[in-house]
Amino acid sequence: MKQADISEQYVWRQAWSWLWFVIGLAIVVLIGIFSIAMGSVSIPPLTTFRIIAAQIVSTPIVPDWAPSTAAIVLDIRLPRVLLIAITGAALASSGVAYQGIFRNPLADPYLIGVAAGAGFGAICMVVLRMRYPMLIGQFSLPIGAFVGALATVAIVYVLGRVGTTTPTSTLLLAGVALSTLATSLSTFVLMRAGQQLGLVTAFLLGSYTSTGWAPVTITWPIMAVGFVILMVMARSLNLLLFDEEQARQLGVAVERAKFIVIITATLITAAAVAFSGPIGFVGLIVPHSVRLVAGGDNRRLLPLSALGGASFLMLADLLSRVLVAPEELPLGVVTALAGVPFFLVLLRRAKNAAFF
Amino acid sequence: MTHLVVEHLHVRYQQHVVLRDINLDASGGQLIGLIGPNGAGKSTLLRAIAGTLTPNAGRVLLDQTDLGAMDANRRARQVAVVPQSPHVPVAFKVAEVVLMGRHPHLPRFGGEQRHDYEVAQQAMQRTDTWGLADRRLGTLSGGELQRVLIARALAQEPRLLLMDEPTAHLDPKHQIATLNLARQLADSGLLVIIAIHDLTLAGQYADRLALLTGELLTYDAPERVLTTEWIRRAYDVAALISPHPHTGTPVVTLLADDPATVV
Repeated sequence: MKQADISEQYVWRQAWSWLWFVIGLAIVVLIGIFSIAMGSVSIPPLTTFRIIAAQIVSTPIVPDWAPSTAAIVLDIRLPRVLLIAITGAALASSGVAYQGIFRNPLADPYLIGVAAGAGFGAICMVVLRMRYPMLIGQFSLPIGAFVGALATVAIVYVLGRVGTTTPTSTLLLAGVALSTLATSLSTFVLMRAGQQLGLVTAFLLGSYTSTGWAPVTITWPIMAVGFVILMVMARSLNLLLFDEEQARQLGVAVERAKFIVIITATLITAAAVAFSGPIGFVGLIVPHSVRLVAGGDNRRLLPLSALGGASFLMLADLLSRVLVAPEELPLGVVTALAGVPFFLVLLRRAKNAAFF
Repeated sequence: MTHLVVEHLHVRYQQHVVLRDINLDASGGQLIGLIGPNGAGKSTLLRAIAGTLTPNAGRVLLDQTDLGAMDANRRARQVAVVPQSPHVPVAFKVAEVVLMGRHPHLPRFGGEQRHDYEVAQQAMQRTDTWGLADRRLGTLSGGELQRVLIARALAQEPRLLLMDEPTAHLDPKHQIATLNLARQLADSGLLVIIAIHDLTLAGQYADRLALLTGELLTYDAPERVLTTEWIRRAYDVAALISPHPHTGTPVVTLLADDPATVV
């Protein structure tokens, strides 16, 4: 961008960004189709694609597959993969938001209590269901996790308030304190309950407790609305990366921006975590990787991270089904196994170049 | 023409009074120097004028409108600040940072338009940072970063420009360059207020000097502020004043031994 006209350069850059987004979308769809295709019953990817296309496209496609195959794709695998994609996108975008608000590359969506709160809520629900099985229905676990996550963050926000402002430092401290509290309480409740540990443990490690289309239809609107809100706030997030005073001087209503971003990021994380348990590393790794390629502007970072998160988690899910087939590894374990070496590589690069 | 009025400004931090009953006024086209010892409240006064700090009493009026009562967005279109040693994310590029100065002019649901890019480009050319446009903040020197922040402030198209100790960590060449730029900006119609610790430079460039020690001791032309008496009163040091060989403005020479205070 030397002495040429700056606006030409920027128009070019915009076009490139859109191109990257479309490519990312295509990759997500491709990974998705392969994810659906693979499993205990292997279905050719092309057939998978046509089964799904037949549902969307109006021109009739003559089915050359068995009805049972279609059932596997449409009723079992497609919703599962969609939920995983949505979860990955939610965790990654929320990671971008948290890293921006806290101006910290180590921030992830669980920083101020979402994971601990979700875990505690889930455990309470499981225990309650043991004692009062008639009261609780199919979605007891997700509801418990969702409410637990939101309640924890709400308390953290109230505790972190100093006068008329909510400094990120006190938010952080309150978040750490409450997370520890929630985790300890969870352990306590678990000990007292004794049985039914399997379900809870699986949840905490990150695996799917619900199947079918219901989780998808519940989470995708939350994710969509949340993402749009974060995109609207993206420019303010850029300014907040400097410091709050500079952001204020540049016209950002800082307290309101922080509130909106944290609430939104928390909501989409809580929704994601409610069905899949707290899956770690996605919210940390994906924003960093995308930042290395696309730079720090949140208006690019958010959509690309969402796509990256969806891809990453779908791939992790693929691995979790394939690595120890016919059994499944919990998703949280796979992301951790992938996450740690990645993190170490990132650390080495960070030492050499400034990238935040 | 832009007119700034500070009325009875009073800022207290817990029990400690930082600014006491500050009154001053200034107009566009002027370069005002804020001088005074450390802890005198220069930064606080700049923050209060910028609207990022709510005073305990008093108000700041820009063209008869209360700056403190404005919403942040509207205020950012009138007032821009170049902070002292601010935290900056090192990965952003210079051009991106300068474009951020356009934020208060952009609609909520929109991006930059051609006009915004042109304003940013002009701001960079004015501050001689156009050649740095593709560099990342982390690779810039102190002086270059300073100029980038000034460009960002100019991109806001403000009527009032506040600079907090812009020469503090710069080498002499960049000190002069920054002050020359500030003078040019004032001459082009902006109201520029600079907190500065170098008294001679302050006297050389400013139209009026405000001597601050928690209260406003005096607010006048440099020749009348930079006197032995005022400097002793504000800084508790002895000084010799002589005319600058080229500009005629007061050159302040600090004296190490003051015979009057030998104990």
